[in-house]
Amino acid sequence: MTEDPVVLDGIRELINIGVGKAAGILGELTSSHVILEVPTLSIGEVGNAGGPGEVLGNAPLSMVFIDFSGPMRGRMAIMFSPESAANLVILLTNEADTTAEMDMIRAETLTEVGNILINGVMGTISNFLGQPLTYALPVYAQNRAAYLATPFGEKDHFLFASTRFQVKQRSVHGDMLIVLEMGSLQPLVKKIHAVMDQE
Amino acid sequence: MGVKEAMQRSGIGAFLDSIPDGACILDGNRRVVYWNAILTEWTGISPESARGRDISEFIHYDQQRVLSLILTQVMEGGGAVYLSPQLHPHFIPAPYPNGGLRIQQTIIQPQRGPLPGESTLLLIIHDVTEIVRQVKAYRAVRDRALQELEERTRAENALQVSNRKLNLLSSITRHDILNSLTALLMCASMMKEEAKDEGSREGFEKIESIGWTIKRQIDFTKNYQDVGVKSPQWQNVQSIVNQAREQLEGAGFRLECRVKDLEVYADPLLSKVFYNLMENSMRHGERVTEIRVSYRHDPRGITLVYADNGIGIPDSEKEKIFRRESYKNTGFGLFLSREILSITGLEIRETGVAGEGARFEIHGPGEAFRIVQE
Repeated sequence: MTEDPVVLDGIRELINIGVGKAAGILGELTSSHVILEVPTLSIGEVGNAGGPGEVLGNAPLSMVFIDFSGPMRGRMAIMFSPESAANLVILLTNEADTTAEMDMIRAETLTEVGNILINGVMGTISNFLGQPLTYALPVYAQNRAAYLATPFGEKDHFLFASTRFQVKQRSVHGDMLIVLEMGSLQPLVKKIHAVMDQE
Repeated sequence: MGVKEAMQRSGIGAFLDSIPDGACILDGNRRVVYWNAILTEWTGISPESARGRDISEFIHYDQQRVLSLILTQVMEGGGAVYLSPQLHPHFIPAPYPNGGLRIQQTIIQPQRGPLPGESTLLLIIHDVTEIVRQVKAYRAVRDRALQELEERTRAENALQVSNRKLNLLSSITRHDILNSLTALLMCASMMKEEAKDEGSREGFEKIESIGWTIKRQIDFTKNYQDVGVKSPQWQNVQSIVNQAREQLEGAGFRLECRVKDLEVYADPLLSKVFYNLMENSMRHGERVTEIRVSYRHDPRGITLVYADNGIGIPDSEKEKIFRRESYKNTGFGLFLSREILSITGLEIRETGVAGEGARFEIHGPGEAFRIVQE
């Protein structure tokens, strides 16, 4: 299922639509043209080789995540290296300080940006499913990627998308991770197949 | 059921009026259905006046467009929205009585209710003015400290460069003086040998003696220029003592060292201090066959004890031996040893009993020593 190119294409398209919406809002916030790209996407099981911890390594990351429930249960996160996080905040706020240190105010800015991106993607997926999801408030953390998958089982699925932001001619790299409880990927896969079959 | 009744029945109105944050509820058309007491206090707009009006009427003009997009995102299936104080500092402009606008952190949460069968948005606005002020003050302090550190590092580097240049200059000058002095001493010695009368011989002897004094003084400057040049470091006392012992070739004494695991924070020339103590024991102790190094804890820190079993030092000499005049060209001298130790706050004094052996105590505060267990 996870290697089905139809499913991968469908999810990539949904994520692209979501980040496109988010780019519009970020563009308004920064009064500049924001380009958001999703160059790669992979799906796997949390416990398998190549899980979130292995894909993103052990380095500490700045991350924003939101838990959701409803027809799909899980967690979506956007992660940045400390340097990328600091760069993104500087791009958004025009702060001159270039240190990688994230204080409270900067963490809040990143929370808002992460929130916009996550809402863009999850809102698009929720609309596509035709069923509303319930969301918790966004959480900011500095931790290793594996931390995000801690509450999940080995057989739960994860979707990993590498994202690139381009704001004011500068690039910032971020990674999106959606971890879904077992069975939660199924409604999305079914819906994608149903839409493809119609076409 | 009307809005007022729904709010009362659910108890949400009473709850929202009791919290210390601004709060309001919007219906599906973004119109205000509830406006809490804190928002009234902040804006001067009463709940009656706010109710039924589009939220955009109360939002800061800069935020209108982006808020419209964000609210659309929420309505289209997105989750709660978090608006940071950095990007939306004055979501609903709320002035302080003494001027200035409150800095706000806003959360917009989609929910079902309290209106029956209708989706609403709950806005919670938290006043973070004081926190932001404190973070900015902290940043200013940090930036100032970093700037001072940078200036200090620059000054230290400049000092090191000029110190190196001065050392080079004094080294060259010393070398030249010693060359001339050697020639002078040779001449004086030859003329002393060839002197025809006692008066001339005594004169040349005097010149020779003064020449040797000058040489000792110049040798002293050679040793002193290295003191404090390198940063202090933690050093294992036992290793340092053993190193000093190895440098004293042919010295026949028994060394008893009970300082295992003890480290001291001192100038890298510390080994010269112990070398100097041992050399003095050999040179002046006359009958030294044993040297003991140990330490003890005391209320003011730790004291390192160096003791030999030689003839000791008379009471009248105990302080004099640390004076610069006592320096002889036999090594580093106790004057320099005291200088080396004082760089990191260590104090040395002689506490032995004349006739029973010399005993030097090196005292330092607790933070100058540490016990390292392997």
